[in-house]
Amino acid sequence: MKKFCENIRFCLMLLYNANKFNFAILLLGNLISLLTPFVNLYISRYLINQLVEIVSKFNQEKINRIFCVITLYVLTNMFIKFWSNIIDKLMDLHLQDMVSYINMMLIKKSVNLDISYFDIPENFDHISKSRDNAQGLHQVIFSIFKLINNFITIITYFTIAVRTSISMSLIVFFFFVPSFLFKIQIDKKTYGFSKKQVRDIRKNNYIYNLLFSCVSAKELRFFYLGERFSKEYIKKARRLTEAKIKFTSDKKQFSTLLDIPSYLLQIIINIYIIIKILTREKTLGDYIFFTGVYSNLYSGLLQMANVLAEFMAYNNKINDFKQYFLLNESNIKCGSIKLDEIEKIEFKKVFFVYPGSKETVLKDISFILKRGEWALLIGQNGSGKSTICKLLARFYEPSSGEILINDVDISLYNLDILRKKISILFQDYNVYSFTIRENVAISNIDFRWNDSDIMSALTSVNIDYLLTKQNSDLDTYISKVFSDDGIELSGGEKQRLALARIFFKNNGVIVLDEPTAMLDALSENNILSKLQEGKRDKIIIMVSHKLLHAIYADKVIFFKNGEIIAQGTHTILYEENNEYRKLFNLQLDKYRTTVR
Amino acid sequence: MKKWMETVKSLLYSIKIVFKADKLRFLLSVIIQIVNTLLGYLLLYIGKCTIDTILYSISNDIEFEKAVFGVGKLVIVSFSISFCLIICNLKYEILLQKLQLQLGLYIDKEMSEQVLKLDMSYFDNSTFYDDIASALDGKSKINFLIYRVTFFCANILNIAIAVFIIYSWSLSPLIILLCIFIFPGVLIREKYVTEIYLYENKNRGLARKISYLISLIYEKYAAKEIRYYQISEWIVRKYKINWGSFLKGLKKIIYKLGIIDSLVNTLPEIVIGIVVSYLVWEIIEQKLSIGDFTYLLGIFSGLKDNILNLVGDLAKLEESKLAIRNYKKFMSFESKVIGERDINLESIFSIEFNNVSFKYPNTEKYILDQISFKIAGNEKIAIVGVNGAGKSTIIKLLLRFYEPDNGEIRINGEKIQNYRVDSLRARFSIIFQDFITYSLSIKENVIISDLKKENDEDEVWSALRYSGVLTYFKDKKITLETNVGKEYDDNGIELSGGNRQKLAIARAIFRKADFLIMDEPNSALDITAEKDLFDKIKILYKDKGIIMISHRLGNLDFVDKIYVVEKGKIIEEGSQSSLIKKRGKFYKLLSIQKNKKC
Repeated sequence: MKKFCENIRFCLMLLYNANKFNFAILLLGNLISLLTPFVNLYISRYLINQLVEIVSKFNQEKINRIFCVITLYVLTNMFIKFWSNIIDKLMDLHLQDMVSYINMMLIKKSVNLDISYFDIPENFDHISKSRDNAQGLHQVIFSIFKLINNFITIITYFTIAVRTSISMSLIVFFFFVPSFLFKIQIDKKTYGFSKKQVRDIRKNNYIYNLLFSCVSAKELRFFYLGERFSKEYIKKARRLTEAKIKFTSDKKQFSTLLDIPSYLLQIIINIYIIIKILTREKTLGDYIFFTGVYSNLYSGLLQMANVLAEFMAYNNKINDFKQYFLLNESNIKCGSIKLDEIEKIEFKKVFFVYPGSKETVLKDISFILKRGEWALLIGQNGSGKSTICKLLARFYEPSSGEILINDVDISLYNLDILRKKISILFQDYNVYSFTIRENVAISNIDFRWNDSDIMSALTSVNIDYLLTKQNSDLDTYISKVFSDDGIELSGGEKQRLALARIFFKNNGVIVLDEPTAMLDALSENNILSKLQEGKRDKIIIMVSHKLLHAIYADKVIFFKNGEIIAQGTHTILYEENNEYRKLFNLQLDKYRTTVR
Repeated sequence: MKKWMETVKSLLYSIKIVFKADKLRFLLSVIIQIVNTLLGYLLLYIGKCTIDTILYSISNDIEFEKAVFGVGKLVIVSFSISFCLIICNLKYEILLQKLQLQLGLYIDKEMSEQVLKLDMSYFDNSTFYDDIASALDGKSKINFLIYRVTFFCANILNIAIAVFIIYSWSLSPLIILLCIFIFPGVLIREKYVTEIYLYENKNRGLARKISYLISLIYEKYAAKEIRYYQISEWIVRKYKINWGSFLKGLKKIIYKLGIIDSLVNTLPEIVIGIVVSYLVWEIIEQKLSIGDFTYLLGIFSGLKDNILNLVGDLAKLEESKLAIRNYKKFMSFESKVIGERDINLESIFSIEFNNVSFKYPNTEKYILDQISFKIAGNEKIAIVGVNGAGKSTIIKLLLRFYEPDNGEIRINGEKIQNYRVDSLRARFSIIFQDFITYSLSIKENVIISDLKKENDEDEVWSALRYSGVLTYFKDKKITLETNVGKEYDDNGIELSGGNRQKLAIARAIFRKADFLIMDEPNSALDITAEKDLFDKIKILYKDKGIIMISHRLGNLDFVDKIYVVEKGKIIEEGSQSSLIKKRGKFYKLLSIQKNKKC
């Protein structure tokens, strides 16, 4: 109960913050439009009573008064109609504001979340679940208006009923309370049931959407999976929906039985009033009035049960939403030293364990790189190479040991400036659906650049030909999200576009994580040679599992299971380390045998 | 007028679909609706009788008990009717739910049967694909429209009965008056709804943009870069600009038309006032009783509401009309790849391309330009070349995803069009470049390549072992039933790119075929895994054919012949050693890839 009130307060706060002015008007609007039904009831009672009198005894003055009342009736109704039309439209607007407000809240929070929430699958799964659950939250929040509306209706009719006959209204009330509570239970169970089905339905829809996806079209046709998937989908969809229909219809039929007593009660009340009319204690107008009051009260209570149940069933939606805001924000240490040029990078006995994991990903890592050096980090998948890049990007703190830049601990530098001084191409780089210009410029978005800077970056990665295609220029969008004229890029083109960012940012330190996986031999050679030309005043760190890249490197660092098992120039490693030699020869063999 | 004609047409089309989907329930639901409507009017009539009886008893001083009995009878009858009505409604609701289920399944089935008939070219071409996507998007709207059809029928019936009753009381001028007063509101509402709809339609791309921008911030794929490049504020600004301009336009429409709409739609209330006045006048003239008054007033306000509902529904149809149009368009697509004869292909002895040229539909450039080659049934070949040279297209033609524009492809000397497509495809197994990892169980991920063997679990295990993914599963609690991905199953496993590819390889191995096609099979594998895989494949496919497509030239020592493709033509062919001796394109590409030092 306490939680329920807490959540109502929370929803009201959100509604208020989304648009204060609209919120006030909507609340007020609800109050006014709810006074009206009972005005109508009083007017029609008056009308009927007057008519009955006129029929029995003609009276011109009364006739005039009747027509005045009719005019009043029409005017109030017009006003109510006008008002409720306006309120409907304001509601639509407020809903839009609400959606946008909730989105902004979520965005602001997400941006400040630590990378570990996204990087580690378990964590991401957790947060995306709580965020998905918060979807459609605005509808739950909007049901607050329905709740308020309903509440006022019931109170109004109940007051009228009490004013006319306390004992009778109390009887009605007590008669209805048990079935009211029971109805809430039933409705709650129904909502709960459909919520339980959500995941099954989603999975089923996944199968259905596979039939229509362009990604899976080839496999579906080649393996002839379509028929099976579509049959499976139909079968499961039928089962799920039938189960739901059965569940709800059983409950509803039962709850109709519960209505029988209240129907009997209404019959008794009706007959009671009729007797009073016959004994001249009440008028015909009263009859119409009372039947109106009680049937409205009754349907109001029914609706209330439904709205309450809905709100309660989606309580955890609100809880999930709140939970999202309790997540820790970034705890990366950030100093204030301003970094100028990077002369030297040093890892000193660095150990690293991902938060929440037990496995040590980096063990006792030490190496030194100076300006003008190109280091190649090699090793099998999962040997810890990419983690080095993440530590350099300051996404995580090392568990122990230190990372020094120009002999100063990395955590003492100002984070923003540090990140601006290092260019990193992550393994899972992203090509954005923005324009070509923006795709290159995001690596240095605050810098005042002109288009020739972008052009030269594109030329460095041999992708300037994109602009020579029909109707293409720097403002051409990638993919069709933002423009129907957008162009689609192949995997190799995407990787080159991402590499163009590195040339555009043109920093002293360049970190590349598997930068050539999607490139054909020719482009790979061009790009790496270009990097080599300019390496004199740079530190380049490149992660690769192609050992042949060692020709570019001044230093090869060989990783295995999170440890450095050898480092040095290629020649030294080749002579001194058996494992390195074996691996290198394995790759070389294929070429060598054919050359001879 | 044309607009309304189209509306009526889509309504008729919807009725046709509902009728096809579930005749019985549709008719039943209409009948229940008729009963419901009639009961509703009966209730009004009994109300009138009740009031008349009360008044009669009072004015004529009828004996008390007799009066109570007379009125009480009516009250009880009226409550029993309204109880019946509730039960009827309940039954109707359940019936409708079932009808809706049938409808949904009917549409799902029709659409999925249709999509499976479509050629690959529909999916590769973005305009066609947009059509498919918008048909799919409109699915729920069509379903809703068709579902509304039953209400629509009921509404018309209701109006007809009301008009009939009012006519029989010879009050038809009031109906005309009602129509006159409702009309302006209808026009304005039409305009308002259409304008908002058009506005939203014009900005349809906006929803796509906004959800993309949000996903950049929410999802993990861009999380690192966004933090690293510090572009979050830049993205948020984009989001705000997009959203703000949309809302501004919407507000303008609502402020401009919304207020007029709200005002004009109060007019019907005036008619009700006129009706009340007229009826009151008739009572004073002693032409009507008070019971008649409540009865007729009830009918009139019911009529007003029903007409407004009808009009509102018609206005809402605007959106569904588009969905119906998309749906019809989608259903009219036809497949162009059809087997000309029905020969069953049992095994492959030779594959032959004769001067085959091909360009993708709606494009100008020939992707393949007069390609000819011949391979034997157990030959192992590789097709190499730079990105975009046309390597994968050869496979797409061979598997009959497309028809060549010129030239012919023959298998065993027979044109491939003469074979049944399914028997042709069954002779190949393939690892696609853009293979899919399904969010299904591990077993299902493997067996889908050959559903006939779906119960052969030993075979599944051996495929998993050959592909090398089993070593990853070893220390974990993984069974064949374990789901891939956690999206639909909390106990599912997340697989890395390398392991996903191994799973796809297991899938290809599971299908026993004459030819194995590998389209860039090694992009996510590291050196040792790649070597292991090729060693195993060499043994597995010893007597069978392999077609390997690659831009990496280092791992081709097991193939008999290499074809070098450039700009849609085969520019070199021969064994690896002969190509190297030739010192041509292949040699050039190879020397770039291989180390300068060796």
